[in-house]
Amino acid sequence: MRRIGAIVFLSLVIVIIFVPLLTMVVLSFCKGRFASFPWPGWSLQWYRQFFENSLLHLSLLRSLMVGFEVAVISTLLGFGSGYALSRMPSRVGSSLLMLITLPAIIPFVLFGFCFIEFAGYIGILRTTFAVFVAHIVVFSPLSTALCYHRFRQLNLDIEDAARELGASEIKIFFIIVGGQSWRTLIASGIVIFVLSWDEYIISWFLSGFNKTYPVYVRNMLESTMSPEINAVGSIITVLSLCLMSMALYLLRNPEKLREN
Amino acid sequence: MAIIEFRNVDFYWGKDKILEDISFKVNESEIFALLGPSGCGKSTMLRLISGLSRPSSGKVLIYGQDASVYKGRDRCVATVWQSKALFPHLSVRANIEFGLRVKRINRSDIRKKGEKIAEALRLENKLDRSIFQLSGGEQQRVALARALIIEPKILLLDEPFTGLDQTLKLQLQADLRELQADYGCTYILVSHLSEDVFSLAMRIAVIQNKKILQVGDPNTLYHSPKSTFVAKFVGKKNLIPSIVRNIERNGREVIVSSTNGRGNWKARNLLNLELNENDEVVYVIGADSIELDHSGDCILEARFRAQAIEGRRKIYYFSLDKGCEVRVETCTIDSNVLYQFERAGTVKLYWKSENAFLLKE
Repeated sequence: MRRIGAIVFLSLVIVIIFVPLLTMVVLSFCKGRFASFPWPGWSLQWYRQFFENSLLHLSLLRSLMVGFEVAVISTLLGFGSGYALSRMPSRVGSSLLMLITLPAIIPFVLFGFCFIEFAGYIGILRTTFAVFVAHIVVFSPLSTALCYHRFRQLNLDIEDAARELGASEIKIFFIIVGGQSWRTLIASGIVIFVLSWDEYIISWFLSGFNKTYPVYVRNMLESTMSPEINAVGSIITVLSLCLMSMALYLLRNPEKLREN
Repeated sequence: MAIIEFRNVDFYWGKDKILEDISFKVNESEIFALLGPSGCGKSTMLRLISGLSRPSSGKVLIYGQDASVYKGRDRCVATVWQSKALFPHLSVRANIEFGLRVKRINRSDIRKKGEKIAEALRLENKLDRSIFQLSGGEQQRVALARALIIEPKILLLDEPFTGLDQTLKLQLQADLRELQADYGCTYILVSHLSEDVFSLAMRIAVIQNKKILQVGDPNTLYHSPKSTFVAKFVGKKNLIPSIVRNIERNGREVIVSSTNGRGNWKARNLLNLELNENDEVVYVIGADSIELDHSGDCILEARFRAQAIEGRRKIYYFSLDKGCEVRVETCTIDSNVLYQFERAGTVKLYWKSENAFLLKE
């Protein structure tokens, strides 16, 4: 009985989560502009329209570039800072981690608004670079937190063993710590990439005319309710889902899995 | 010359004192053991030798020189860690060769050395495997190979037999003896089990509560413990609280009676304790010195509790009043008699007074 209850409950949750997404995917293949009864038929026209929209391509490319750069830089920052925090006494490390994660929990509207001042002051306002810097500020703490938790799981004896065998601190950091944590680093990069390229609020404040794809899509929606949005949304959703699944797969604890 | 010397070493972890006034020497090519219960500071001593920690006060000397002048990697020390501390993301070969790979040494030389030591430890067919594909005993041998490849002068073994079954343990002990003969390095072995160190060590330091209680060869520690802890922990002796009744032969022999009035017995004053009548002492008699077949000048009546077989030995457990327990060991091969006692029944135990001695708490 308990098992049936659990299955029903889980199915309900999955339906609630996936029905809106599935609606979007189904509508992206709809022949007409709106879904109606009887069903107007299937078509790839909205995808064709998306592949012909060069302005949307440009904004997507811009978002991909920002997302990729933010992912790489934030992961490197998280790798270093996470290691430093994890090797501090537990209380100090976790307190500092809370401090570092502060930018990530400030509402993006407030952060974006405040960042305009700063971006203007250093002369990068209304540029893609401003979006890049702001995303590093808000997303690198996530990488720090992921790396911190991974590094806390590592057996410190392993680093001491390497030290005693003559490895320098740099080699220990990259070969021993990095070698045991590469899955977390890649997962952190993927998560940050997905969050950054899809981020709208901060980008809206800072991107100016160099619109990233979420800002461009939002602007499109203001002028017209084109079903092309469904095609874009479907592609982005499937891609994000694949990337996030990959990240979750990598974030499993490899030692625990092997022990089992 | 002593290869390692601890001179009045204290060590604090924050405000907690971990080691107190530790002094001992280890000779070259010796197998020296640090024996004590968990948490008594044994592993900390290994960290002080390998340079991963520094003493709060006192000195650790290596070849007569203050060890603080050497960097960890220049001490020619390698450790086999209790947790094995193998590199989980590297293959068996990369694990073994790690100590040479971090130095600028010719790649083919590294390979040759790695294969030689792997062969000595029967790992030649496992070199390309992941460490997770190895059994516990094989992982321990990889840890040993990784430590020995840098040709250390001192090999530190932190609880090397933990988690190994009896067969693997005996095999590893044989490997260690053979490698010591081949490489001639000094072993410092840490364990909380006296059986493990007795079979391998030439000298043993017994540690309790941050201090060294006694240093000696296994025979001395077993037969002449200087404290009740060493007697119980190392020799598994029976300790019976007693009171001095009569002192004979210039204090060399003493008649005592047990505090619960179970009998009067004679014992040797091996440690030349200064004793007076009515002093409280501990009467020490080995589990293997007690007989169940009416031979001996000392007699004690005790209640039978349980019995167990440990390999060639049969162990009988008896209880006295106040929770005091007496353990009797007989050899199942030498003796044809296997005693059967009624639970809680009274049994007479016998021993020769020349096998008993006295200690003070």
